[in-house]
Amino acid sequence: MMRWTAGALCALLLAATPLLGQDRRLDGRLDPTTRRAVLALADSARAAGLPTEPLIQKALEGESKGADGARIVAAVHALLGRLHAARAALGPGASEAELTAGAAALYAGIAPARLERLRKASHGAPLALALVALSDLVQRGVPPDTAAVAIEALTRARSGEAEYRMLRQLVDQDIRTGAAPAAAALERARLITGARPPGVPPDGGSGPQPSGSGASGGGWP
Amino acid sequence: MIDRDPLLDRVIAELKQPIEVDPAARKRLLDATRASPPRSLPGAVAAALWRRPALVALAAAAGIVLAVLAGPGADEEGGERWTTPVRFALAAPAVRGVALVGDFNDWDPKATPLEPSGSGDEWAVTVRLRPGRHAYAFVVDGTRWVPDPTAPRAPDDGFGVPSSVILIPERL
Repeated sequence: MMRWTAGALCALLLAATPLLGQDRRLDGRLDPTTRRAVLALADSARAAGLPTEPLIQKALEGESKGADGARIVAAVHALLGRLHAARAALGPGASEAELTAGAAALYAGIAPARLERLRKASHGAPLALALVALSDLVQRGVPPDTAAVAIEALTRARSGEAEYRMLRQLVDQDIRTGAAPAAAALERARLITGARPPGVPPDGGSGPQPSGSGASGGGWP
Repeated sequence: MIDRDPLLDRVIAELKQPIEVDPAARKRLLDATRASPPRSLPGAVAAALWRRPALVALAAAAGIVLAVLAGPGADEEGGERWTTPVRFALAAPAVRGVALVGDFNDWDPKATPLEPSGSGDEWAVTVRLRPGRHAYAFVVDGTRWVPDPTAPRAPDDGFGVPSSVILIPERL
């Protein structure tokens, strides 16, 4: 009886192993070839101790946006590479949010060495907020290295959600009124962290307030 | 030395006497046990597992398989305690419909439609999000992808369509 039970147990676990690599959410959304490729990449991530959900979601995002299979696989593969690089830069203890935000920052053009500097500047505090803000600045036209310097200043000052939101809003306002993105980011970072340049009011002017659109309710922004 | 109460000694002696049992009592007891209703299936399974510890491991492995088959979304209904309500809104006058898509609804344009406000200029919906970084966008009239104009922007996603980011902090 014991021998039979042990055999059945092994068979069951062996049967379960490939199931771990499946995700029913991909059924009907991706063609079989693309699905197999995405699942293989997810298995690779799992084996490396990286989160798999961002890869699955990237594939579903691509399908929803009408991308073909080859493009989806390429995007998922590239994301896996960036997750590896983000973990190397942010350390093995990085959270999933930090890894995905770090991967996005790398995609935006931030050098891995900049992520390492941010990690050191954070002194162990969560970094996801800073990394999201970093990518956002680059998307608004701030050069990656300049954006990294500005965000590092806020990180060293142990800035919170309100400061990062203020930075985004003020930089956006400055750029809309004709300021150079790099100058806007550096000046606003200096203002927010307390090193106010002469002639700049303490509140830095009133930035655009979210109204009529946007997300609210306990998260950031 | 303390003298014991003679009454107590008599009680003890009485209790030490063997109890006479009705000879038919054992048979009645066995008959009643056989006549009792059969044990329920879960009870029988539990008893079997108790007698065979290896089956406990087998049952645990079966549980793992079932959990994997159920998929990662299996606990979404019951995980409300760990989520945060977030209101998403978009000012979009003169459109027929707006949907919210993101990594919290598998990027399904049919999953989370926004409701129009009284004037119809603003569309909004509240969803519960788990802690972490979430990418999302709005889909207007089923075809036009629009990032949230007030949210941090996600880098180009590899598909040529912009997205936004929201970060939900861990709840203590």
